[in-house]
Amino acid sequence: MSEKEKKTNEGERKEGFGHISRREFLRDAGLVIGGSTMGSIAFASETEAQQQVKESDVAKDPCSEESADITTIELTVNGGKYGFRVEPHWSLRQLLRDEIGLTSPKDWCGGHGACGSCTVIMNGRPVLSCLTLACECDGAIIETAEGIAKAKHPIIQSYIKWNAFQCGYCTPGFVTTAKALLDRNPDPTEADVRDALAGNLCRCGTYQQHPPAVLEAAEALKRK
Amino acid sequence: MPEDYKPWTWKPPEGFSALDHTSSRQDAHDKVSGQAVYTRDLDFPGMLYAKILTSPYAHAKIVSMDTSKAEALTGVRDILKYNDPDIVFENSTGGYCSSQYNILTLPGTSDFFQQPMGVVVVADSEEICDRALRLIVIEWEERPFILDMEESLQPDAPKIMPDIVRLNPSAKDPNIVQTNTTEIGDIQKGFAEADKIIEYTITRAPNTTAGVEAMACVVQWRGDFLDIWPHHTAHVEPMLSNPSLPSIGLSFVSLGYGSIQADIKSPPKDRKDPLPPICEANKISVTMPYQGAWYGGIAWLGYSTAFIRMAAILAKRAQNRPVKLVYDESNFYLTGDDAAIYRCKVGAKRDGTITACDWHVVGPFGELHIDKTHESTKIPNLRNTQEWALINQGHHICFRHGSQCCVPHNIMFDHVAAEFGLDPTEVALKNDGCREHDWDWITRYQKENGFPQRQSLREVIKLGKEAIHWDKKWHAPGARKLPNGRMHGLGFVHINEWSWISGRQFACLILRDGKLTIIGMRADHGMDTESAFRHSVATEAGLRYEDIVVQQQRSDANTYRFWVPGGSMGISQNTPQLVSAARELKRKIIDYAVRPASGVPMMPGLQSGSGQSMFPGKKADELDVKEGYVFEKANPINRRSVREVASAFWGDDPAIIHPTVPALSGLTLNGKPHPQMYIMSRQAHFMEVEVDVETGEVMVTNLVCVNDVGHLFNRRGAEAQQYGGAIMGLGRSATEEKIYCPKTGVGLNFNNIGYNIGTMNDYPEIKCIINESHLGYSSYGACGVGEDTGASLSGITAGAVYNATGKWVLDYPVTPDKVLKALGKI
Ligand code: FES
Ligand code: FES
Repeated sequence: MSEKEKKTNEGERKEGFGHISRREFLRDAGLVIGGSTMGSIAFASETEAQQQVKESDVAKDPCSEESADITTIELTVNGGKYGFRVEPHWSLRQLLRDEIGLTSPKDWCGGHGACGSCTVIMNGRPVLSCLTLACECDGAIIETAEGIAKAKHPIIQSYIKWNAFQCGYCTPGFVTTAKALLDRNPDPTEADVRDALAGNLCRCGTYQQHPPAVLEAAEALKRK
Repeated sequence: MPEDYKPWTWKPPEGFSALDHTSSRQDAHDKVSGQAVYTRDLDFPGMLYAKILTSPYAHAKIVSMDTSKAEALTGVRDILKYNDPDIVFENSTGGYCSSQYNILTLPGTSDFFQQPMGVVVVADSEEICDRALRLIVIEWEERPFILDMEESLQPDAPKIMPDIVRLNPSAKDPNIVQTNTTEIGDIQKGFAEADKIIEYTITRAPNTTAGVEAMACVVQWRGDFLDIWPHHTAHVEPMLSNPSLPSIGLSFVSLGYGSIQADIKSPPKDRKDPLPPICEANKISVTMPYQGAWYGGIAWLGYSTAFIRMAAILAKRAQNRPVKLVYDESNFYLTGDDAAIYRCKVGAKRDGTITACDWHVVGPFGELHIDKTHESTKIPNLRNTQEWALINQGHHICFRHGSQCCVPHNIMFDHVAAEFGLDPTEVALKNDGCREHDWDWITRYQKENGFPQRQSLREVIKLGKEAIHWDKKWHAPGARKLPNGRMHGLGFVHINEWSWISGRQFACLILRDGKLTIIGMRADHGMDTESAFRHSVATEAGLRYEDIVVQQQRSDANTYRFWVPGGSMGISQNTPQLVSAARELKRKIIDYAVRPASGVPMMPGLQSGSGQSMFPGKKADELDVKEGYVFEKANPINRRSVREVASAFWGDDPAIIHPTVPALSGLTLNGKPHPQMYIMSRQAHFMEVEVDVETGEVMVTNLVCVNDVGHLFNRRGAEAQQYGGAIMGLGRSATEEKIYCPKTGVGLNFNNIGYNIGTMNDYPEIKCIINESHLGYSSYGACGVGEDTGASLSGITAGAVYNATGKWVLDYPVTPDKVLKALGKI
């Protein structure tokens, strides 16, 4: 090692140390484009925007990096209608944050689908907005923590009451995942709650307070 | 000890009870609704973005750099290189900390994988920054690297960081940072008195904060004025306004950290001293947005300081446009908790009395490894030999500090118990004491100094054992096989709490509407000290909890701030001064109520401005304040709201302000425990596991955390610290480690997929029990809770696995492969 070695780093940052593009990541991992699933929950029906894209489809895909096309999409976010011209590589999180100005879809893991802090509800199911391409969201109905709070959903009060947060950075991701659970299962067990939230990480270790908060919100919804 | 200032002897006001689960945090709605704005969320008009290169090598020097292609990229506004005159000058004043060498703002040589270095790009978006960085062509000279500290200590080891500025004059070549030995008592005599001498080695891999919000900083100049929105745990202004001293060191000195003050006395010889400030203190304004947790870490501070300095330089070059310097998630792996090797030798008598312990530690951070054992036992003979050398792994110092002490401490008790077939809880009690004194001596100390006469360790052990049914479940090592084929084990750890008292200046204002504002900057990492601050001020001043807020997020010119902005020991540090302020405010409210009010009524119906007192003929001692009302003690229906009282003095706004409250003396003296103060509160944690002997998996089935918090202000907040700390502690104990490639020095798992943080389903419900002994040094006898829980649990797995299998696995984290190896299965 003492011998002087000279190298260039051109290209290495892209290939060598995890700096692959989102497009490459999705393609290589064979992931669902347009809504990566959360936790261990399996969903019965998939919308148009949730089709599995095969390797052979990539060239035709309007979101492909090879395509220079700007796509026009319309979507509903927290009840408001929006139209955007989106670049092929934009993620849904980017769109929600940079174009709409929402702050709740967070980034902890660097968009690798590993933390759940960017979770939003798309067409009724929780998706990782960092791994969801914006161009695939035409016609989608999106809910974020801001919208859930604005609609006065009981999950908000019950999270506050149960102190189900500390620094709060991961919290909107938990809130959206929990709300999506209650939408499809109004009477969850504690195990259901734990399973649904198992894809969300919290470094502050708030896990203990989430199940009672979600179960209490379920009770409040039943009373409504 | 100052006789006139003993906050532990203060009694809480009548009716004071801890906050319950329905008292809302002031940050609750912001955070739960996703509307809380963190530094990374900031977006200002005209904002530019900046990103730094991170090193792809463990140790390499930049020989040349061609930025022409990056410069030609549309949207690139500025490129600043390591050899630019702007940065060469500033490099000598980059942040540093007790890592013992200067952290440069933008070095040309990387000393570890993913070190921020070399070049920074400013552009219209983060994306363009990324693209531009990829277009930069760099010629590197790779240098030898060392990942292992013992290898680095060898006399013939290659000098691995020839360019760094060493701050410790005693540091020796080639790579040694520090070597020292601390001896208390007579170690040889202690071993001679022992019935048995036990020797073993503990190893800890490096782990990391894995914080949630990657570093970011927004800076804007307005002419000579500098506005900063940092992601930081310390106070920013002194770092930028007085670069003649190492910046982070100055900040810590201003906060009272004596140990770092020692470093500052020997500034590096090549420092151009004095340097002009980046900005004068009275022109700096800092706004502290919400902060995604990162759990302190002294090593962090050097980086975040250098980061802020860099942002200020870039913003100056950007001609007054705001610049947001952002880092990617790789910054979570820059620093963390220490990797270390502990070679331990313990002498003990058959009844479990420990006569001597001798630790030879290869790892960072000085004699602290033995400090907590000294502070929390009567062991008379202790020795700690420390060797600390440079390695190419970034700065592992500490976060949620203290595990470097707790791991060897608790493994020692486990070994003594195992050796003599004793219950480790009994061994712990046998040796309980403070700095060589036994508990009888401490009981006399308690009496003389106004403390209750209680033995905290006995109380927390009793509570924990009952909760986990210890006496029914405890068994000899490897003696209980469960029907499911797994082996059952119990683990136990204990330690003292840690909190030092200092406190800073902050303001308490009563506004004309009778509401109270506490002003003091503090980085919000979510520990919720604010609720306790509000609660103690409300109860002492006679106001309502909901009428009080903490405005913590803005500080101009370094004026108001709470102690320990990083979060450690927030309640115990700040409440003595808050209580003093609240008591003073209450006196003032009453004084105002009996004083003739002059002026014009501010609102219809307010009987002020009449030139008369609100309580004609009454004296101050006839009145009291509760729930926002001033009332006559003998006739409580004669009352006026604090709002009415404050409004009567409409010419003053704020109407009532507390005077300066003197800073408390510290529990530490020059970084050492104060010789006249003994840390008497304890914590004990109990874990039940099932070990699968076929897979090596260790399943935690039951966890009980008992913390003596001295006095409880906020049950919800304390419990959150208990279970949050427990989850982090268990991660450090069993799953979390940074893994480096031995051939390249590159980090192999530096992301949330590879670095194993537990999820909701990985741990059982944790039973959190609070004990209130009133043995802390803060108001009403309070002490700390969160940091120490995370630290003390970081060693618990080894004891539980030993009890389950009869085999020691002393290589942390205790992963299944190591368990299988110990069982002879692989
Ligand atoms: S940011 Fe999307 S999963 Fe982590
Ligand atoms: S609340 Fe801080 S990461 Fe979850």
